Amino acid sequence: MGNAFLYRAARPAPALLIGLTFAVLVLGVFPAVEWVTTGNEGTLRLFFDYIGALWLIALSLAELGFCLLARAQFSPGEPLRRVWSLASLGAAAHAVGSILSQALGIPGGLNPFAGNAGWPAAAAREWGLTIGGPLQMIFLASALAFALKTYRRSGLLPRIRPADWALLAVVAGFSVLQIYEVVLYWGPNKTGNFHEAITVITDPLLCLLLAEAILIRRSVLNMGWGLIGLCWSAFTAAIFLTSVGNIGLWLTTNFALPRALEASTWYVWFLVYAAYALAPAYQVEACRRAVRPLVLPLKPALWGRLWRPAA
Amino acid sequence: MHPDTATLLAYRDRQLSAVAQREIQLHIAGCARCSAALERLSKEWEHILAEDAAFRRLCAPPRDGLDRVLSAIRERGRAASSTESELKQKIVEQLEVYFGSRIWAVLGGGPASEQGTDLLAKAEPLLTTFIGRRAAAAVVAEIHKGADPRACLDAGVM
Repeated sequence: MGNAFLYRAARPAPALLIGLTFAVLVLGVFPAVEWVTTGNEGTLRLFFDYIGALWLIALSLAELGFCLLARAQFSPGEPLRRVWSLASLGAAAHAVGSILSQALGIPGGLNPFAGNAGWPAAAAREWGLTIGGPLQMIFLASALAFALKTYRRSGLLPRIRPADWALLAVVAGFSVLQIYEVVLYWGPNKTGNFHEAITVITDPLLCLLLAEAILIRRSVLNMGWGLIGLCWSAFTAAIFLTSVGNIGLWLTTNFALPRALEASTWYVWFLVYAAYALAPAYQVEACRRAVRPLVLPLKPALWGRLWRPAA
Repeated sequence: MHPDTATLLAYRDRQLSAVAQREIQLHIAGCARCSAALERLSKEWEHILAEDAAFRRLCAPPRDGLDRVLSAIRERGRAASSTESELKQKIVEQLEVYFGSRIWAVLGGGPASEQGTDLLAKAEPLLTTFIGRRAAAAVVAEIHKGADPRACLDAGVM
């Protein structure tokens, strides 16, 4: 039962992920409209604390599951095995970070320890943002670097065009600016905690990811849109959308944005999480199309035990 | 003295001299044993001739033999050509599903200018790299499925 169930479960996965994320977004529009028009944030808070948080956690767990499934399709020694191992570590960091920052790190909502006065919610949130941010990015950047190497060895990485060079130059310039700001912030007398120290590498890491995403995007555009291309394009979309989300956060922090624009920047994160989950889902779909049933990361008997209802 | 088998056969075929022919004729007329031997030899000889005629009829080339041979060669050629185009079509379909419709422009060459075997030689390592050995083997098996082995041999696929 285990193999057959997972085969059927994995089959409509990309469509299901897109459909459900769209449904959550549509559901989230109503409280946002209420907040923009009346200023009442009660429903909006309920949406983000419960439905939104639950869906983000679900997407990050789906990402981890699909990454492990994608990894299992490759034997040890195959080039993409290493890529999917690193992507799985990134997905695990993302999932742990999401649980900490979206549930255990908030004073209410999904946090089962919310009533406990001694629960270190702020620390949990900080750890969540660190694990799900820079740590996840380090793993993902390494995975994409190996993926690009595989693309180049296979002759699929095309010559970079002037438009790409321009985009890369913008990214590099932005990266230099970020490093300059970090140096200014982190002056000689500045003392900060571990989380502050590690979050300074977030922007340079995002710049590196953007550069990798630009190269992958060029390759996919040159080949057309196959299942493998969709997989790497989803990673690319997730990285671009993360940048958009970060820019939104920066704008919200530094400027008084109109409420409608401010609200729209929050919903970008649903698209980011969905894109991260879609990437391995497309890889699994590509392997599933060729081989059925899929190779599972654990012994089929164990899957059977996991999925079979207790007698 | 009774004549031997060779002499009897020579007598039957009138290969002996007139004197010897006359002597054997007189002997056979008065010898039941040699008369029976001559009759047996004649029957066996006729049987051999009948078998030989049947064998010749069997082995003789038919009047339309060359046409039939040429037709069979053309049929094999058509089958090989059909398998080649089917093979190309399958490779193109599979690779486009996984990598996209412009993959041939990136790889160089393509179905218009290359043999099926060359296309497969390009496609197989790509598939192995990006979907794994097991899945790639399944795709290649799917490409070969339904192909006539003789035609594949003609097309140089197997």
